[in-house]
Parts: sequence; structure tokens; C-alpha cells
Amino acid sequence: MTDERTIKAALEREARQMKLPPDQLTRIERQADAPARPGLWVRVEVVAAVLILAVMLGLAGWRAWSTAPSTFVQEPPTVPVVPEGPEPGPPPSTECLSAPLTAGDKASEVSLFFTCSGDSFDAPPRAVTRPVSFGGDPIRTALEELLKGPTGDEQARGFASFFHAGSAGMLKSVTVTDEGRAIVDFADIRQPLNNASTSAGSKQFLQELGQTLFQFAAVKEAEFRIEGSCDGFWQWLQSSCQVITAERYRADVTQGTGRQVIGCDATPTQKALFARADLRSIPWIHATPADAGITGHLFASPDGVATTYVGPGRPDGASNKVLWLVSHPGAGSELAVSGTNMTTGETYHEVFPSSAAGEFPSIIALPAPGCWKLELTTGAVTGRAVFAALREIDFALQVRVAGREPTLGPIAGARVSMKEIGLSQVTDGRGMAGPMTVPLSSIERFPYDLEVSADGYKTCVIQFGSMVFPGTGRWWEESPYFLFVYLPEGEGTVGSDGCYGGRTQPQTPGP
Amino acid sequence: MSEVEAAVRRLQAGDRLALTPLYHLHAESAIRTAYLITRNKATAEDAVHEAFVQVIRTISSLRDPAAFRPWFYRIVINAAKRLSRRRWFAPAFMAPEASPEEKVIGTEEIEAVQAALADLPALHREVLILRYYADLSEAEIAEALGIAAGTVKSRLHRAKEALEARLRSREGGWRR
Repeated sequence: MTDERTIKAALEREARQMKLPPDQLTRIERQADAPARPGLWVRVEVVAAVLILAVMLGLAGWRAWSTAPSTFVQEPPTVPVVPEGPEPGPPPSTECLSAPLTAGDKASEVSLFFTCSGDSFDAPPRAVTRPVSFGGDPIRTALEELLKGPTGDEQARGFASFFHAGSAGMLKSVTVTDEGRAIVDFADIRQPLNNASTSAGSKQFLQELGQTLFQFAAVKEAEFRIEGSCDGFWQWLQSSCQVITAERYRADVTQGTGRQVIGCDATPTQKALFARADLRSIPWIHATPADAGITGHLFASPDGVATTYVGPGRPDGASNKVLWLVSHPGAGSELAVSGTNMTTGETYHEVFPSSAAGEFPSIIALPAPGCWKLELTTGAVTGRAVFAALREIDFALQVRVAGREPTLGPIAGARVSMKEIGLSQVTDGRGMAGPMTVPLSSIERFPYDLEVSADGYKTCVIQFGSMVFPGTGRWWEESPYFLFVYLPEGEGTVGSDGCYGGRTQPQTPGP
Repeated sequence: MSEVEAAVRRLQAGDRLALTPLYHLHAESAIRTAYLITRNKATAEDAVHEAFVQVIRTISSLRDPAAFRPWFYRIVINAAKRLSRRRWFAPAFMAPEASPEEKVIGTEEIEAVQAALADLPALHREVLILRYYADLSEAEIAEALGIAAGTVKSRLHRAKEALEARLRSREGGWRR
């Protein structure tokens, strides 16, 4: 049998790969000083109380709950999950909930991400909502607040961080390019944050920094610097200069719903965080560059991306009102909005006077559907945003059979439907359907599926966008968009991958 | 009274400075033990960090300060196992420089044992690590794992048998 000395040598050989990281004592003590979690039964009672409270508040209506004075604030509390298996490891904490905000009307709020001291180290940081005075660049404000570290009250609620009073004020600059790259330059934070450079420490540090920064939808990637040096920052974290991307760090607590408009990379909207108190229910966008300090509050836009409707408003009467707020001191007394249709080159120009310092109410009445790049200019300040302009879609469709010459011959039993909006039509003997109208109310749910089928052919599903079909002709006079759909051979129903040749086409003059 | 026992008593009395000697005496061995269990450096770091946080928070519950070592290893092992369950990783292998011991025994033999150890079920590997790497006595292992002393003895025996079986199977494999 293998002797013990050999087993010991083998284990020591493997263990030698592991080195003790630099002194962690300060960090250990700081985390230990955060309040300990209550005992199991206390936790159970807290969970039960939270559940009962949630049910009662649910009965009273979510909206009423969210505006009434509450013990916990905006988000429903997380219910702890009992860890798997028999190990007595600590369960996730019920601590680290946001505190009620008592901000006044003109005050605002900002979200920061700190570690919850009761969580294990691989747990993502949690959001802290902190009241701040309104104005200034939201991204800069959030980072400045992050660098201050958790307040005494936040620490008492279980939040911990590498950031602390000693790192406050060490943000030198933050700029966001039109492409969405945030360049964040710090003063020399290496000394005050010396414990953040270890392997586990840097992961936690970057999570807090990344989630705070990437909560802003306009920020897609980030480059961090110390005293202007990207190498300086990353060498401190024992790595080399790199750009980090939003996918890895973005928490989903403040993002929009992910609604998109196909073919238009419109400016993403934020949820209400950092909006002025009286505008919290309105989706808002952050014009680029961020240091222009221009935010737009979109009264008619669905959450997701900046959306407007062709003409002054929606058919249901809602206007395309956008309230622009400019916090930059160089703002003038009026705001000029100049737009260019990114497909057709058509232009739009309108000037709006201010109603109060830095406030510009506007109706953005873009003349045609499409993707519009807007340039916003007031005084010495210029910002940019991209809007998707929508209108009700009329379209026509011809079903063809893949592998054959386009034919007007009979295609038995051809049907087209959009099940999500209850739109359905049987084609005529030549495989034609239309005109059909996609109502505006459904446009807000874009994209969705257009399903086409015919007897003896596989069902074809194509993703249907909004104003992305740039055709200029007419098949039917009343149908601005015309689609050919090629059905694949063979029986049965298949998903979109079976949709051979099913795609939108520019309109073709009809016979 | 040993240095560890004295430090534990001071820590229990609220003297936070007493953590420093405990950390310096145990951190390296703990982090390497955690690494042997998790086979992941970041997880091992996190486990030991968490263990020391727990030491500060729960030191008052340790009735016998002389039994700090097995009590502490129990915390480290639990943290390491819990954290490893949440992560997926591919263990990295990096051939380290041979120690004087290895030179005597022979690198090839040690590598074979190391590979066989890596193959063992966690239960067997864990008990071998505590006995032969952390140098805990059978009684201390019983305390650290929360099992009976007799179970430790039989588990160690079965672990060594399993190790042997794997070594034999590897030799057989090479010969074929």
C-alpha cells in the first residue's frame, strides 16, 4: 500500500500551487463588523412577516403600495432561499434592503451597488437607492456616490464595500462616447482601496463598479484609468489594460424591458431611477455624450427604446411629448432639435423655448417612419439621441413556393396570421393576402412572428419588424409594405429555422 | 497555554488584535487545504476569507479554546464545499518545482499518487487531506467533520484502499 509519506508529498505538491493572498485582515474585520444576520427562527419570522405584508399590499394594489409609506420601499423584498444539502452554510440574507426615500419633489435618486455582508463572495452586489439632489450628469453622480462607500445607515442595513470615505472624491472624470464606451478616470485609488487588488477582492470591486456604471443603458462598455492610465488601473488589479462590457456586469434591476424595434438601434430608455421625483413613471433617455447633461423624458414612448409616432402623436390622442432637461450650466433659453432619417436622409428641425431654467417641453413630430438621429442643441451644449418613429403598418403579402419560379398559380390553403395580435387572413388563389394593418397598440410589442402556411408545405415563421421595410412602390395602393414569403417543401409545422427564404423584400411594382 | 489558545481567549474577550496571530498561524495552511478541496484558487481564497469572518462572529461559541484548530477547519471545509457547489471550474494543473521530499521519493511516483488522489470521491479525498496535509489527528478530524472517531478511522482506511485501487488500475492501463 502507498505509504503515508508519499500521500503527504503528493498533497503538498498540489497545495504549493496556492499562495496566500496579501494581507486580508482589514477586509475580514470590516466584513465581520457589519451586522450579523439574525438567527434562523428570527429569519423565518421575518420572511413570514414579509410574505404576509406582500400579500396584504398586493391586495391593496401595487401602485398604492409603491407610493405609500413603506417599511421596505420600491422593490418587493427577496425571499431567502434555503441552501441545498445538509451543510450548515449561511443562507442568503434578508438584509440589505433599500430604505424608504424621503426626497422632495425636485430631488432625485440614484442606484449604487454594494456587497451585502451576509452574502457569500460569489453573490452579486445589491442595489442601494440613495437620494441625491437633481441635476448634473447621472453617471458621474452615481460613481461619485459609489466612491463614498456605504453610509452609516447603509452599513447598518448590511451593505459593505471596498469604497469608503477615504475614496470619496477620487473620480476625476467620466465621459461616454457616442459608441457607448465610458472612460472613467480615477485619481490614485490604489492606496485607499489597497485591499481591492487581490483576486477575490478585485472581482468584488469590479462587480460594484461595473453594475453601478452599466445600470445606465447608454453605457455599453467601460475603460477604467488611474491618473489617465488604463495600464495603471489594470496592473494594480494584476492584469493588463482591457475594456469591460456591459453583458458581464449589468444588473437587470434598472434596465428597460428589452423591447426593441428591428433595424433601429434606438437609444435605450431607463426605468425611473435618477429621474426627477415628479417624472418617475416616465421612461427617460440619456443623450450622448453623457457630460452634456441632457436627459429626455418620453411621455408617449413605451419602455425599452426611445420611440415616437409619426406625426404629432398616437391615434389614441397621446402626444409625442418629450420633456428635455439640461443640467449643463451652458444651456441656453431654447433647444433646437434637428433630425435626420438614417435610411432616407429626410430631415426634421424644430426649436423649443425653455419653460424654466434647463427645461424644454417639446412635441417631437417626426414626418416619416424610420430610425431618426436627433441632434439636440442649446446654448453651448450639444447632445445626440436616436429615436424609432413608428406608425400603423399596412402590408400585403404573397406566398410563394421555394424552389420554383415566382408564380401566380394557385397555392391551396395559404394562410397568414399574427397570433399575438389576432390578425389572420386566408390568401387568394394566387397566394396573395392583404392589405393588412398592424395596429399601433401591437407595435409596442415588437418584434413578433408572422406565420405563413399552405396545404402541403411547411409552416414558415418570420420575425416581423416595424418600419424597417424601406420600399417606395406599391403593390396595392394602400399597402406601403410588401412581403414575399417562400414556403419550404414538405408537410408539417416547423419553427423559424424551417422558413426557407422567408424574409421581407423591398416592394416591387405590381403587374 | 499555547499561543493559539491565548489568542483565542483574547479574541473571545473582545480583543480584536488577537485575530492577527490566529490569521498568520492558520491562513496559509487553511487556504491550501481549501484549495485541495475546491481545486480552485479564487474559491479557496473566498472560503478562507469567509471562515475568518465567521471566526470573529462566532468565536464566543467555542467552548474549549484549545480545540480551535479542528473547530476552524470545520468552518473552512464547510465554506469551501458550499462555495464549490456554486461554481463550475476546470481545475488547472501547473507542475510546481520538486520539493526535497519529492526528489527522494521520485517525481513520477508522486505524480501518479497525485493523479489518483484527484480521482477519489470527495469524501475520501477530504479525509486524506485533513490527515496528511493539514496534519489533524483522527480525533480532530472527527471534530472538524462532525463525525465519530471510529468513522474517521474506517473512512481513512477505505480512502487508502480506493487510492491503491486507482493506482493499480493506472499501472494496468499503462501496461496495456
